Amino acid sequence: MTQEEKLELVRFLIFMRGKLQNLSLELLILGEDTTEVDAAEKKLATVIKKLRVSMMRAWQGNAADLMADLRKRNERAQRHLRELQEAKDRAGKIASILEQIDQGLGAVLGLVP
Amino acid sequence: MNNLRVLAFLGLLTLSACVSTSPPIQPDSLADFRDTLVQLNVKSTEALTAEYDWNYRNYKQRVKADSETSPKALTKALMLDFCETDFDSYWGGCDVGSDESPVFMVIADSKRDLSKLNQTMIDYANFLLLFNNANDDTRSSLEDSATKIGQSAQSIAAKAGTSLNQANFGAFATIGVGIVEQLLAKKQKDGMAAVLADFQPGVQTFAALGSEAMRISAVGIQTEYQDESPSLRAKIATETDGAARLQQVEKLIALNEQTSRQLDTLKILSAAYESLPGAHAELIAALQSGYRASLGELVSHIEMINSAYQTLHAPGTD
Repeated sequence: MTQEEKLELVRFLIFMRGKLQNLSLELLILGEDTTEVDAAEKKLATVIKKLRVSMMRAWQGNAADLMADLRKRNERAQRHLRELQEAKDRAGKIASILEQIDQGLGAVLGLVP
Repeated sequence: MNNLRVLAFLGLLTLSACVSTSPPIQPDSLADFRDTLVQLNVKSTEALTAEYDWNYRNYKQRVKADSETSPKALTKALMLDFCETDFDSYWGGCDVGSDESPVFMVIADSKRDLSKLNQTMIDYANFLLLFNNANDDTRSSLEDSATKIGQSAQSIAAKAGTSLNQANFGAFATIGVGIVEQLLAKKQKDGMAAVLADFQPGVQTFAALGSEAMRISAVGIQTEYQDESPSLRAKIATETDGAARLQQVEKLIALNEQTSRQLDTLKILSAAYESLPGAHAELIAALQSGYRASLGELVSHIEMINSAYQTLHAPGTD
């Protein structure tokens, strides 16, 4: 894995974390429970921290497939986010977003030594 | 009589051109190169200090709020272990993969490594200044300097996990004890420009490593922002008192400004590192032309940092 790929991966996770933070705020304004989204965001923050440290320490793995997979999951999560505004089955859609994030994080964690 | 003088002068010029086909580089160019590297070292390590300060501050906030980790895990992580070595210490334990160093400590290590990389480039520039006018009196200093640069290059390559070979580091891979004689012979035969050209791959590698350090630091700054901003945004969204909300808004604006400024600075620093190979190539061209190297791109990046960002603090540390 090149350093460029490592940086791309972390930048993408930071982007995803920003989206989760926005979702949490939107839910807060709507008066909805943010616990699950906040927990997912915290989990993502932990992975970013691990990757940040690992990147400074120098690490290896195969990022190309992982990035493609994460992008797919992000597209699905983004679609669900848009659908959230329709307010139908909000809880189900949040669960689906969090599932995408969770599966993605599992793959990323496999890269961290 | 005047014609004879002109002829004699032209003859002298021709003779001097034959004796020295490669005049020493303008000392000003080498000194400019060295001085710019010194400034780059100051500014880039300042940037990592800002990242360190911010991370340490957020870490203390989390410990205070009990959200960093459990007290038991915190106690274990903060314990230094001495793993049957003379001088080394390890955060959290001796097992492989048990590194529990707080992020700010890892940043401190990165800062030290970056400083070492910068210092190697400064040492190289000083070596060139000395080598440019080498004589018997400077031989010993040159040997010492070459040995130091060689050791530093070895250490940097090991840290970066890169092979210390000619392809990656050029003459930095072989510089060390006894090299000065060879370099002087090369200078005599092919000129000073050829000596510098041999170091170009190493300058490229060092520049790439420096630029990479700045981009990793940018990731760190973005992460610190994401750690700190949500609570401010949540307070703004839920605060019912106008004055209290304004206070939070002002805090968030200050945080946004500081974050953007730090990211801008890191961007310029990254660009400054990327322009190092070009500046070095300019020195080579200056040697061939006899003109002073402008080092335009590198100098302009440093000036941008100096003029736009006099200070670089972590938010809230003013």
